[in-house]
Amino acid sequence: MVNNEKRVTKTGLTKAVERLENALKSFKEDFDSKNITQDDFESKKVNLLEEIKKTKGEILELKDQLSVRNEREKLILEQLNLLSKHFQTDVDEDTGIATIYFSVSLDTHFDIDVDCSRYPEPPYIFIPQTIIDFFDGDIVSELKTLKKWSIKKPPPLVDIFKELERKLVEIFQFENEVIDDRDKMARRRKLIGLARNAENEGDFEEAFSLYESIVEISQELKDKKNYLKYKKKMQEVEAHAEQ
Amino acid sequence: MRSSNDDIDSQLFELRALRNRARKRRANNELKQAHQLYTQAIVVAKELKSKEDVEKLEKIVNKIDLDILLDRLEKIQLNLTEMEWS
Repeated sequence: MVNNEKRVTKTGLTKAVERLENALKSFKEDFDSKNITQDDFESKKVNLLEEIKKTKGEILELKDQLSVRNEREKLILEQLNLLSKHFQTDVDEDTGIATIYFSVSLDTHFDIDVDCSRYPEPPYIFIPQTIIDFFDGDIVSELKTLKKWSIKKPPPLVDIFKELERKLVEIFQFENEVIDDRDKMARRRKLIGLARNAENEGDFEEAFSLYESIVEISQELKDKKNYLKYKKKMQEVEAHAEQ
Repeated sequence: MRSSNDDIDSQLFELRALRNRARKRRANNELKQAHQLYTQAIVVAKELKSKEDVEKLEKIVNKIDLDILLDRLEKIQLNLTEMEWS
């Protein structure tokens, strides 16, 4: 039997696993060549399974010893746990890196990796290319929480990401509004074409209703010029319809 | 012209990027690839003379080694349990 103190090191455990692999190999050979009685087979199998269980326990024990944290690591973990309470997060306790999942609109989501391993130094934020491409400038350097960072009195990590989330929501909300306006303009162009056709064909009631929709869209777009223009058109076709 | 600060910044970035890639591999249970990336990260951390990073990364590599041993034990166990006297 190997001395237990010597065994519970990585090298000792590697040797124990190798020994078990070899034992399995020779056990299989005996089994395949029927070079073993049933009683021997059963007892050897039980012994090997017990040895595996014991070795597993020793490996897990050594892993636990490696997981003992120093004060800084405890502080980082505390901060990462706080982050997890506010955001959907995948935290790697060993490295101090987390992935934070942001949803800035119904269909715009981002995964942002954050390296907090040097806290109380400021974290390093891996900004995805989609945000870099979209945002004109460095979004991280514009975060006030980072600008005012003090290593002596560091703010909670979660503050940075609350600010970053607000910024992302702001940017993408604006983008969605722009897309919405573009859609409205395209719809208005289509309605103008239809209204003109209806007017040319003498279908003034249809033209009136189409111009009415155009006026509504112009109002939503705060487009005063076109609002007045098509309001006037409405009156013209209304007059034709009454004749 | 590049200054030594630029070199340190780029090495620090390399270290962070390697560590980030490695932890993703480890999370996907791709232990050998993770082990390889962490080992590369240790080299960079040594170049940066960051004792704390080296220690932390070595700890992780040791943990991965132990996870690999656990995987090997699982295989032995599976093989054994499948063996039945008939």
